Amino acid sequence: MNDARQNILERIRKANQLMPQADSFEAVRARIARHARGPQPQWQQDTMTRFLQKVELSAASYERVKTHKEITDAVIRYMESHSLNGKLVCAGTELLSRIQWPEKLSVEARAATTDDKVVLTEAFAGIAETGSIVMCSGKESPVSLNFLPDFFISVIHLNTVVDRMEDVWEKLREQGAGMPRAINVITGPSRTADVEQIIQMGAHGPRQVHLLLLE
Amino acid sequence: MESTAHNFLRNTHKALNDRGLQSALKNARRGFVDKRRNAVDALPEFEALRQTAIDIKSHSLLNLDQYLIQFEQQVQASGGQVHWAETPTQATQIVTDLCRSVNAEKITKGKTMVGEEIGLNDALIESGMQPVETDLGEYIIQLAEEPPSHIIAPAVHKSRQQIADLFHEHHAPLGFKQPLEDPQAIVNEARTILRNEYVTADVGITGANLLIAETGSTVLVTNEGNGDLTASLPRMHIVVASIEKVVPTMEDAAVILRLLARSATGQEITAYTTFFTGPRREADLDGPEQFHVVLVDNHRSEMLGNQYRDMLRCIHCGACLNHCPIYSAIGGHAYGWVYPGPMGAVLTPLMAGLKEGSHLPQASTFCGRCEEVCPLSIPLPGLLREHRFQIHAQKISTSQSRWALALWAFVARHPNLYRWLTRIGIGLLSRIAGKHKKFRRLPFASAWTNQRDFPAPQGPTFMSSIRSANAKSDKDS
Amino acid sequence: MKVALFVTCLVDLFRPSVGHATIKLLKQANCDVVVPSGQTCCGQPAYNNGDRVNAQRIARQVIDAFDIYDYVVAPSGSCTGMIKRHYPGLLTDDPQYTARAAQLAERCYELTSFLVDIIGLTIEDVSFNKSVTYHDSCSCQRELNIKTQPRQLLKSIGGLRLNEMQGTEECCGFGGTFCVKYDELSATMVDNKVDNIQQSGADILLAADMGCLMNIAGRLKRRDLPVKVYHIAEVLAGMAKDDGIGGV
Repeated sequence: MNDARQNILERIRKANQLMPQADSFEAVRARIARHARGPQPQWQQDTMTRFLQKVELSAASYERVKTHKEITDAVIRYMESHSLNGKLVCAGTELLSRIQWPEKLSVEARAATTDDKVVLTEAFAGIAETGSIVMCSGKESPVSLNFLPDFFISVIHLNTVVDRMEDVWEKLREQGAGMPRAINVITGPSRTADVEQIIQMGAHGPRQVHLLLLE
Repeated sequence: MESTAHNFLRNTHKALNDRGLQSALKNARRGFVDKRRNAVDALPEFEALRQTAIDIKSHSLLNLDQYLIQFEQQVQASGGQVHWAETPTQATQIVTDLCRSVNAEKITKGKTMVGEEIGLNDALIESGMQPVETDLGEYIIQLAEEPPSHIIAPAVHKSRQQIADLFHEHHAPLGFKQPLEDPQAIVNEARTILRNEYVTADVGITGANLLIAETGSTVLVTNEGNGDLTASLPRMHIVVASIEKVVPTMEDAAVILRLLARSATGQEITAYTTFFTGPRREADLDGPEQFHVVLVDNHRSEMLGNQYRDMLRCIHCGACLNHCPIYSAIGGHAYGWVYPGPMGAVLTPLMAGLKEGSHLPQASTFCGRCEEVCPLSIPLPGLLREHRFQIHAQKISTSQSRWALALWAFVARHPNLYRWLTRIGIGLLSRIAGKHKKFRRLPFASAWTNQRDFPAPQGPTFMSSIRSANAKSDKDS
Repeated sequence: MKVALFVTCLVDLFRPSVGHATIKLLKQANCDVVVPSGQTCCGQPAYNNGDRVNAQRIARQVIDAFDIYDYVVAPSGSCTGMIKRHYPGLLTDDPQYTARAAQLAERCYELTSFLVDIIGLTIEDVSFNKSVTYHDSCSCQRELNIKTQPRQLLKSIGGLRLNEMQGTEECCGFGGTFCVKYDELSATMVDNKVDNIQQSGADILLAADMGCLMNIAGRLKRRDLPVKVYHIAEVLAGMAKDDGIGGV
């Protein structure tokens, strides 16, 4: 197998010798370190307006919340309106662990299973350009929560909504914790057009996405 | 995958006369074209992004060895492993060995065209394992035992009735006896069945739309979320990716992602764009324990050094297929191998052999729509023409056509002879036509008159009339 | 202004009136028109069928015959495209011809583009009282970016009604030898084009490329449709008097 690696790299180097000067090792490192952005799409509206517009277009829903109580009320209301029984799986983030849930609701902080119908998570960031939320995997946010349940609710702090994907990368770098196992940029519910090119929701991931915008 | 590209004429005939296929293609064509058009029109920065993407890809290819090494280092630093495969056989060997190392029986798969290219499913089955496709389109064609007919929408050639019938046939034994009517019900049934597969799989295999050197990440773009379930639930996640997919940074990835979804489906972004880096971390509650990337060469390092280098800019969006009049007329299967449409016509001769794939580059009018819509401005007609130069030089075209061509060229290079022959030939044709302005049938031209009338010449050739006019004016002056 | 006419092989052999119409239009534009006798073909058949050597030979022959003139005008998008877009690349390794190929490329124009972009010609006193639809050839649209020029010229023709068809960006299925090598495929494509022409409700089809015109006319006649087919030059020069390409 090491032969394959060597052979491939040698063929690549030989092929590129026919081209104008390839870059030096330092130049390549420098280019990476620059993290230069390409052309940045522009728009008229402010960040939040754009974000909410795009969230709606992506077939996700949202409501604004300010307090823990408003979060619990919103979640219970959502579950009742979708006839979901009193079982919720929740991400174990600091914010969400501090929430006092009413007794009638069973809340567990764990990874998801195929039996789980609804989850509550906390997003790392939001992207206004596309109306996306960004989930980073970790012990407080198992990735299965993003995909297994039918209904996906996520708390997103308004001050984490940035303009573009590149702003999220900057935020991640500033945190200095390196890359998580998975970064999911999620825009609306799961969907497919594989049957006669007609879009259907709920292909494999969640059928519905609901955002709780936390000030 | 075994190629039937040499049967192109027969495949084409069959496809053109397949009413179900024609109806499915017609249905799909307008949608793809209009959605892309709308998405591109709505983004003033599209041209600038396209130019930047070209620069990113050109730079990456020029420094491909460095970026692949950087990528490898970062994957390893995050706890994953990188394997290198020169050929399809090497690649499938690596994958089956990895699967065997965890006693894998069931393997879920996200859509991977490179997987098709190396014949991955067949290799897994031969090793006694069970691959289960999770992308709905791939799942459908897996049931139908067919290859994908489009690189983004693998089952675009199937009608809802055909899909419903397939599901009924295969799902009834599992207890799903209700015949399905509408697309939503079809999707629901697939969701229910595949859910179980996700959680009982031992290994998940996905492709990658991009590899990122700076972080050792692989990028996966889906609308269904099947790729994420495939990558996150089993014990082992294997990514199969070709070497030219690597770009330097996360910012470079953002540029290309802006072009990819718009060009493929007309979306600004797909429902799920995921960046995988290494296996689960120690404190994680879920995720694979092992993360492997299999880098596949399969002629790409060769292409880097020859006249097909520009093809390596391809990001597999499928826009060229969607705008190609040939693809629109015959669909993907008629191309006979993994990749259809203009990109397939470039790649098939390179990967399955020039003689084997020789019809594909010839079955084109060079209308140029592919190059026009390609987000990386790949000169597709020019690359197809390069194949034609090779086909001619290697005498793969029929000797009949080469002789006819040589004759035409000889005459064209001798203007006096040309003048004389055409004056006589056109004169003859005019006389045969008489007062008819067209021929219903013309010997030696049946390939034309099978489908069209042949317009008769108007009269003597233009050049002969000019010559007589010149001669006359010379005489007069 | 000394303008050389590159008449193109299809016009020369099958529809000389297009050549005469082109000369008439160029003279209207006060051009001094010359028809170099050493011309035969632009070399596309060789080029697109993989015969690079003969394509290069023919390209040199064209350059030798034409590059002494101020402009070269051809009533064809595909031949113009060949000269402008492909000659330079074809002769890039030939030091004797590289510069000359680039120069010829600069000076070569498709007819409608020449009349509008270079001359700014206004056509007067020409009528054509018919409903017309216009087919844009792939080479005009995508190699040469020509779309508005023919329409602008048609606007000045008295009584002419332009009914745009759907799918003007779609190929008619000619493609040189493609239409005979892959005739079933070609027929499918030209049928789409003919359907679009019918739907436009026009009585007349115009275009700037003889290959497209002969292909589409051939299929129109095979389907017994009464649409008449002319080259745009004939209409612009007021010379579209007969029953058109392939008659009726």
